[in-house]
Formats: sequence, structure tokens, C-alpha cells
Amino acid sequence: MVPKPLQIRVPQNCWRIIEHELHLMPQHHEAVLFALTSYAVTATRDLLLVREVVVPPEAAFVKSRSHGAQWTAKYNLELLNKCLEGQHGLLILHRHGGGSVQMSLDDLDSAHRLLPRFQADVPSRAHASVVLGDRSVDGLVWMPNRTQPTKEFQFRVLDEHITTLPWPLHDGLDARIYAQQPLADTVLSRKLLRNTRVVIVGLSGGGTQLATQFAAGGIGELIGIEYQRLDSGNRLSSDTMSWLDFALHKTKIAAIKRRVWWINPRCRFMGIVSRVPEPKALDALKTADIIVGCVNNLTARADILEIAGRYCIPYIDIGLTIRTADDIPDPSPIVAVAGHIFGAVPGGPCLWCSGYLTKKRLEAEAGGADRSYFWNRRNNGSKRDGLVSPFNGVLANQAACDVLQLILGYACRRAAVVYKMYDGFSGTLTDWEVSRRDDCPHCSGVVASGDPVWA
Amino acid sequence: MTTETIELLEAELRASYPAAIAATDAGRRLIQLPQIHFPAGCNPETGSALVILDPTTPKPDLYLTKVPTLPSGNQVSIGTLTLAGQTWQSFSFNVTWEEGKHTAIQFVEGKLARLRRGS
Repeated sequence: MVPKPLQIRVPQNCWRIIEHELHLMPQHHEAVLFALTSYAVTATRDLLLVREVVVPPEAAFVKSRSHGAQWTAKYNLELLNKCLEGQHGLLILHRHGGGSVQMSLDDLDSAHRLLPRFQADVPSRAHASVVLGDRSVDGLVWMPNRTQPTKEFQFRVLDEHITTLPWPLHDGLDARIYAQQPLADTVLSRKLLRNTRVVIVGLSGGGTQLATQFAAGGIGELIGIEYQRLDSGNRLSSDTMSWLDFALHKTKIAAIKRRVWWINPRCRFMGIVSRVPEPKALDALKTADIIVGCVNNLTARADILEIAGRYCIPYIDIGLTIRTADDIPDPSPIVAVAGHIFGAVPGGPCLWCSGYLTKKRLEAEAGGADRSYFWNRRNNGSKRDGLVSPFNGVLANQAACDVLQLILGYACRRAAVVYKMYDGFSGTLTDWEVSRRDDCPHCSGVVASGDPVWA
Repeated sequence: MTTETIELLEAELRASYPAAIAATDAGRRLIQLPQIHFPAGCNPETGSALVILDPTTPKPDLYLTKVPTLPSGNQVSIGTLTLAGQTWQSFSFNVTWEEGKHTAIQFVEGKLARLRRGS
């Protein structure tokens, strides 16, 4: 059996510690960090997910004249106990200067001496030693149930944008252009887009407009998760379907698949006729590089976020509501056209941190899910259609920009803005700052937890 | 529930369901019961269950891979959700259960008793 590709994923909070600590220069030895990891198997890749970074105290190191770093047997035992306690894998991280790094003989020797022992004690997880360089990576990974380590893996960092090493092949000129102008059409930017799989959940007003943007932008693979057929209301929520699609009462998936093909036949579109959280939908979500949720209820958002966080996949959520006056009998006047775009990068603030998802709101929604665009406290669940296509277009296009930012990193380092509120009256998007909450059950318990270890 | 109660309930479940497997996930203990028998007349007659032992909640929770149809042919109303990366189904039924007073088996059997009803 040919092994599936392996990818190491580092969530934002862990990467920031790694980046900071590996750039500190201890006096007596090379900077070394450890990370506790989980593991997951998806349909397309095996994943090694960084759960927690362990910064060793100075006392853990043995003083020596060599350039490298040696730590004590006692500290190894401490690490082993941590791994056993949480059924974690061990990842050893250090850094070399230069554009094309390689594990040194000392690195290889220490990995071969240490990691098989960890594998023997925690066989259900992968154990690895990795050296990071400037835009390159090298290392060895001991996978579960395999005796020989592998050198074949990708290293993905989830921060302001996604960085996946090694980069696709490109020349020096491309690299120079990309470094300054990531939005320029270069071989490198095209390959980065083509290597990306975006899963869109919900192919109605927002999802269909996103699919066409992604196809035009050169995204390599799109997966649409949707179970409905087109109905007359969809005419008003999106501009992407034709009269023929409505006349034939096509499934939304069939209609958008054809549209994507006409825009860019090199963009592979796969439709999953299912709804979150059915097994087929969850399996598809787990294979995503980026998930965009265009759903109309909180329960589905909570389910998508669970999968995105657990398997370290950035999740962009969009939503639109037309609020009508609460205190006047239906039909009451429109008081707001309100939307949002939330970008949840694993390890950063999430929908629970922001208070958008709460247990109370989820309980209140039970039985009243799948609401229409029109909403007020009296009339939650009204099925009135509305002319919302242009508003959905604003949100979808901004979400497409956020996906481009994740893939290409065109914007310079931003503040922690992950939540954009849309006011359809004034036509403005306002940034709201959200912080990661230490007591958030999703961030502390679910993010990067991978597949549970059943025993 | 206290850690001691969770350990005790897990031991009870493992003793009654020898094929049970367990995992720790997001601070909770999950016990999978690969084959449990539903009340006579349910369709299907057996299925897989997940018991969640959460230190932040006062009693366990039970989920099924697929909630069966009742002996009458009716279906209880079902909630589908994601737990530990997988799809599980739940149905609403308030089991009287107190920590330290009742056992894990009483909880599971009590919850499944809902499926004996006609509607």
C-alpha cells in the first residue's frame, strides 16, 4: 500500500511561540524546542498536529563545547511522561540558517537514538525531529506502525497566512516578484492556488458566488457540500445560476459544477450531496486546506468549527440577516441588513471566543434551524424570500479576498482582526478585534486534537 | 462529575460491555460501546453507542451511530452532531440519574428505555 502524504500542521498560537523561541540565541547551545502532537488520518493525508509547545528550561541542557544542543536523560524522561499522560507524539524542533537546510549528522544521530524509544512507548502517535530554515525544512518522522522513519513530509504553518514547506518549484525571479507582490500572476502564485483544496459548505447565495470567484482565481480543487435542489428563492440570493438551471429544477451542486467548468475547466469541482454533520460531509471537510461556511444556522457552524479546529484547517464563516422590527406585527419594517465574515485560523480566536457561538444560543436555536434571511425575535423561522444577492456578493467577495490572503499572504502583518461586521445600509465592513480566550473550551480542548486514541 | 466517579463509571461499562473502548478527548472521557442491544422490536436491533463522561456536567450523556425506529414503526426526533470528529445522533429523554447513587448501566438502560415507547 502506498503511504498517504504526511503533513505537519502548526496552529497559530504554537507557531508564535516557536518563532519567538527559535530566534532567541542561547549562549551555550543551539535553540531547541519540543512539541506535543496528536495524529489524524484523513482520506487524502496523514496529519501530525502540534498541540502544545514545550520550552525546555536552561537547566535541561548539558553544557558542552559542541555547536549543537544536548539535554539531560532526566529531561527526556519528563518529556516521555508528558507524552504518555496525554497520548501525545513528540516533535523536536530546531533551526539552521540558510535557504536549504538539512539535518546534520548529530541531528540524525540524536533522532535515531531518542525517537524509536518514544515510538515504543506511544505507538499510536508519530514522533519527529525537524530542522527549520528560511523557507525550507528537513527532518525524520517515525509514523505509527512503521519501523523506518520517513523524510517525506510537508510542514504547514497556520498564521496570518498559510505557509507550506517545501514550496512548489519556482525560479529566482518568481521568488523575488512573489516576495514583494504576492498577487502578481507568477508561476509560484499559480502553483500555490492550484495546490489548494477549498471546501464550501452551502451552495446558495454566498457559496455559489464564492465558487465562481475561486474558479476564476485558479483554485485547484473545490468541494461543494449541499443537499438541496434549486428553488425560486435562489434566483434572488445569487447571480450565478441560469434560467435553465431553474427550469430543470437542478440540484445546486449540478448547477454550480457546470458553471465552474465554464469559468475554468482546470478547476476540479466535486459535489458532496450531504449536509453537515453527516459522515460524507465530515469526511470531505477533513480533506480541506481551507473551509468556507455559508450556512444559515449556528449548529452547523459549531460542527464545522469542531472539524476545522480538530484537524487544523482555517475556517471562514459568512452570514447575512435582514433584521425587522421586533415590536411591530409582521410584516414589520427592515431595521438592519447585517452580515459578518469570521476568519478562524486554528490557534487564533474562534467563534466561541467571540461569543458568536454560545451554549445558550445553540439551545435557543434547536428546532428553529434553517431560518430564512428575514428575522426578528417574534418571527424566527419565517420562510420569506428576499432580494439578497448583492449583499451576499459583498460578503462572498470579501471572503474570497480572505482566502487569497490565507493562500498568498498579500497583506502585510495585520492586527488580530478576524471578525468583519457588514452593514448593508451604509455599505461598510467594520473590523472587530477578537482575542483568544484561555478558557475557551474549543481552543483549549479541541484545536489540533486530531483523531482520539481508542483503547 | 468527579474524576473518581468517571473512573468508576468507565470500569462498570468496561465490565458490562467487554468490547468497550475508551479515549480522552477535549477533557472528557468517551466510552464507545460497539454493540448494544436496543429494546425488542426496534429496527435495527443492535447498534453502536457513545457514552460521554464530562467532568463539567452532572451526569453522563449517550449518543448512537443511528437511532433506531421504535417498535411501533415511529421515529423519535433526532439531533445529529459532531463528537470527536465523528457523526453521532441523540434523542431527547431525561433520565433520572444521580452521581454516587446510580450506576453507568442504569444510565444506559434508562436512556434506551425511551425506545420502548410507541411514539
